[in-house]
Amino acid sequence: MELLCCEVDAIRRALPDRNLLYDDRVLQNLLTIEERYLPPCSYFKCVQKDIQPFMRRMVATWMLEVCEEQKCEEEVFPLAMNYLDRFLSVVPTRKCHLQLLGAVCMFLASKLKETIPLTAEKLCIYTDNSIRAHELLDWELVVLGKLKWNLEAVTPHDFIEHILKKLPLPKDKVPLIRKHAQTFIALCATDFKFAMYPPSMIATRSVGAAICGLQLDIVDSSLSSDNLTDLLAKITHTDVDCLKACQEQIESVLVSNLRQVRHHQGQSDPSKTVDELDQASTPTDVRNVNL
Amino acid sequence: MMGLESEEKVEIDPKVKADRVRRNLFGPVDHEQLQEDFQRLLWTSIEVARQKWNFDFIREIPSAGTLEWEELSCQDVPAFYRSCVIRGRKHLQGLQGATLQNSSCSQQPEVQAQERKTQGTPQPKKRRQTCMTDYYSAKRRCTSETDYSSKE
Repeated sequence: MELLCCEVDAIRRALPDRNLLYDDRVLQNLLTIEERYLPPCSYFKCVQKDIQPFMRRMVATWMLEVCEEQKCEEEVFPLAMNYLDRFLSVVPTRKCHLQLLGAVCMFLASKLKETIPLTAEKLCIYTDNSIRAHELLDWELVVLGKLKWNLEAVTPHDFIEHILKKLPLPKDKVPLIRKHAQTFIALCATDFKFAMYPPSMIATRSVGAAICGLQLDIVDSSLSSDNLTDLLAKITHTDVDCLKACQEQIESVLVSNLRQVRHHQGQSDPSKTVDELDQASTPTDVRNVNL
Repeated sequence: MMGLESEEKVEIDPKVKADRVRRNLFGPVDHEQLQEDFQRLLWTSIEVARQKWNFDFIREIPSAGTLEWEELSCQDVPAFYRSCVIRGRKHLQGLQGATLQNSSCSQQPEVQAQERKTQGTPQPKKRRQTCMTDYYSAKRRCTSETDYSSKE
């Protein structure tokens, strides 16, 4: 007889589901529906009067820090930013309410994605108690209404596993590539430039940037820049030229973002992006399988 | 391209870090303004819902429109739609209990344009699920069930 003693950690995660990750229909369906969840317009031009792009960046940076501090699942932050952008593209919002809105979006995204979600009280504390828990709960209702209760948005994370498994990558490097790609996705989410990009494009770029960053092409010529672009373009049905054209812009933003992050965190913890390999590994949505 | 591996690790007191994350970004929040904006947005959404479903969600009676509403009792709908008890939560001002207690199933309608409504349900024993009307002191009480018993 075997005796098994488990001291289970608080978070339990499902194992990667091969039926989802190895079925191309999931990827195709994700590609079909992803555009539905993009904010419909560049809201700084046509909707918002009081808030400006740098304020979005401020609230995004704060949200990312809260998510990291609370060790949220990787999808929580980009999903919360998706809610924020979709809300801001329909509701003119005051500057002084923006942080509340950010907190509400994290609250919702966390509840959707996490086993043990962030609490309203905790989020209020992170705003330095400038908002109250009942306000958070009230606005949750308003935000839900404006999002039409449509919370299961497609995020770049949904594509990562699909892309990774289709590339000829050395097995031992995959966790690191995944981790870097997730970091790039988070950085993209803090920058409004990427808010209107389809998630699949962000995911493709992020994986591409992660592979380039690790200089895997030195070991394997099939991962050289051109080959990689071709491969990536095929996976997400993107035009190669379009992919290449955007690549430079995206990489430059990533570089400047990274520099900024390093600058910000110079005195804190620059290692957090690489550590913590403890993320969920079933990013796909069961509902995207059409039988 | 950039490589992340070269970053060196710096140990830092987690409490200091937590304190840095905890911050107010845009100055003091005007709570009255916030409340006002909230009420306005909520009213708008209720009005939109009223027009979409031609149903007055505040008085919980059908209004004129294309949908035809049929009254069902709570027992006739799947358990999913019945009110459930959740842990109590404080509501903001405007919650005056009195007008709210006469309905125990108050949720958004399904597409089939059927609405369940209790017929003079007695006071619920426990707290019920939050409903739209929690946020208002409804102008008029829905005085009798006869108002809408004959549907258009």
